[in-house]
Amino acid sequence: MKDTERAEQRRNDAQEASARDYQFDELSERRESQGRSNKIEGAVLTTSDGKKKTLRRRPPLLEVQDLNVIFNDNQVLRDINLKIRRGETVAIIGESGCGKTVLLKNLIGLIRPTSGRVLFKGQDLATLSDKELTNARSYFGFVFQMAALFDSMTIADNVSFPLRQHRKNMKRSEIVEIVNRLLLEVGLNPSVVANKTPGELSGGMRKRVGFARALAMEPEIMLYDEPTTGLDPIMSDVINELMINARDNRHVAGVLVTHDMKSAIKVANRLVMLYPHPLLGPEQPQVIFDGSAQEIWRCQDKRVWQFIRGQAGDRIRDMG
Amino acid sequence: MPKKDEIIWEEPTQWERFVGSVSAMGHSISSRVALAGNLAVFSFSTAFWLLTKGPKRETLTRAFYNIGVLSIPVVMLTGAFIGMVLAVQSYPQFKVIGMETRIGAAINLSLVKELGPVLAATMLAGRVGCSLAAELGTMRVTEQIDALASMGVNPIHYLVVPRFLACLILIPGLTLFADLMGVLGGMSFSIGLLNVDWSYYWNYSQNVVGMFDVFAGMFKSVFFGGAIALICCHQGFRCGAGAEGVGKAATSSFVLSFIAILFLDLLIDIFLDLFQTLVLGMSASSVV
Repeated sequence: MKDTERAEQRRNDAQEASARDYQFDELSERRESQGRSNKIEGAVLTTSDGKKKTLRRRPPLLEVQDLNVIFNDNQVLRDINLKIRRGETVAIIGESGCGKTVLLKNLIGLIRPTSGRVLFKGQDLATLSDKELTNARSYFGFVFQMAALFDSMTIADNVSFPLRQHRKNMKRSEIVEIVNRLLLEVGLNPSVVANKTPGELSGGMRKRVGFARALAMEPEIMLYDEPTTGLDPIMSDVINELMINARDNRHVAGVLVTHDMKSAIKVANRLVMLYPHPLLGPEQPQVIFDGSAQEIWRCQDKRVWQFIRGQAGDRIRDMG
Repeated sequence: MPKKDEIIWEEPTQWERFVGSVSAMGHSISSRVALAGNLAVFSFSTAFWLLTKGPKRETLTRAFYNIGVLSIPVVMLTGAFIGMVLAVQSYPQFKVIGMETRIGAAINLSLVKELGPVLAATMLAGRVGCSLAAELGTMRVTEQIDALASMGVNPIHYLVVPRFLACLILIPGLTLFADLMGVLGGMSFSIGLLNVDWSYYWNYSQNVVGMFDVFAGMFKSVFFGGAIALICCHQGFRCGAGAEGVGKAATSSFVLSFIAILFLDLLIDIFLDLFQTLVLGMSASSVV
């Protein structure tokens, strides 16, 4: 099977899996609302066209269980629990220093938890061997805050880097075709930028190249670390559209770390807000909101509405 | 939220200052022990990747070019000047006892056995080591190392193994260049400017400097090369944030490499001395 066909197959599988998960969750919620047991392991669902489908509970694409991260004596994350389903985009919001990026890096195993687990398709990342972790990471795409392009390589080499590393049998012509397609997808002219180095591009262009590189391996989940920070409003919206495109057309799940509320509300299906650990009481949870964009505007928690409206209020006294 | 009187800053008392300085000392010791442990783990990881998966040709070629080819001029220049300085320094001493014709033996022996390898390694710790630490440090700060890992590429395998191999293989070769230029520099100065007879110069040199001495210098330089690569790459990988972090990584990589070079030099000299005496025995003395 050709790599392009394999990518198409993987995209279809992801779309199907995403639809199945939503059906499963809907059924589960319906049963719960009817006061019935929520255990529907192997339940049979009759679809609208009369066909019967057996649903099996699959682990979420990504799951965080009781995650704690402590650097030296400084606790950054405390008892974080989070599930990311196939096809959904979750925005993690919160003020600077609350541990959003640390959480994101834990999701891909770049930082190891002090305690707790991060499960990708049910597998604990901390227990995987180097080879297994490498394989698991090929399902992820990571868009870094400052793009993190390799300075010593051209733009074409940057975008094709993961393909050259992992798809040994891929022909040069196929790689060139993919690079051209990806650069066009993120709105860059390959004939203009392909042979340039990252230093010759603007910040917005570099971020889009980083986006193209993250998409090269046809990931199942994209991790975005403050992708709109430092960009003008138009370029920020271009990045938002690219994230929506990845979610809707490629059926890729996403975790977006941002404090750009406009971006979070536009792109994410779900918002999760973290609060800085030093400002929490001993029993208070660090996740202070988990819900949809509509729900967050109705949230009564003062800490949440101060953040989403950008009102410091008396917060200046707590900052230190 | 803390009460206001809990967060007001107050000048520490003398006792608090004393406790603070003891605590800082303890912290400094424990961080150095942790650094050594961390370097050991890093070295094992490099060895693991080196033995299990060879580096790609493109990364290896780039490392060989940057570390080897670009270092040739500076190493040759260093070697030539060491040779000439040795001639300037030793000539008056030898002349006092009327043995200026033997100056070649002293210059060449100290060059191939000690000064060539040590000073070439020091120059390389400055040129190559600092550049490795700064390059990898910048990659760490700009998240390029994280980007590699997130794409399923092991950063130690991709970045460290080719650089380690280049240092290990090429530094002995560069040492040979330094030795050669040192011998030529010392000879040209002694014969050309100090009027030492060239036949005596070479005859005495030939009698004193043996193949074992040349081998000893090269043998040392392999260890120097490995130590420079591991220390400098490790400093780059654990680089702190910002420009200050990169600067500190470059400085500490040179200082630690230099200390390692001197320490390894002493250890290897003791080992080679024992080897020459106990294993080679007669043949060692016959060289001299």
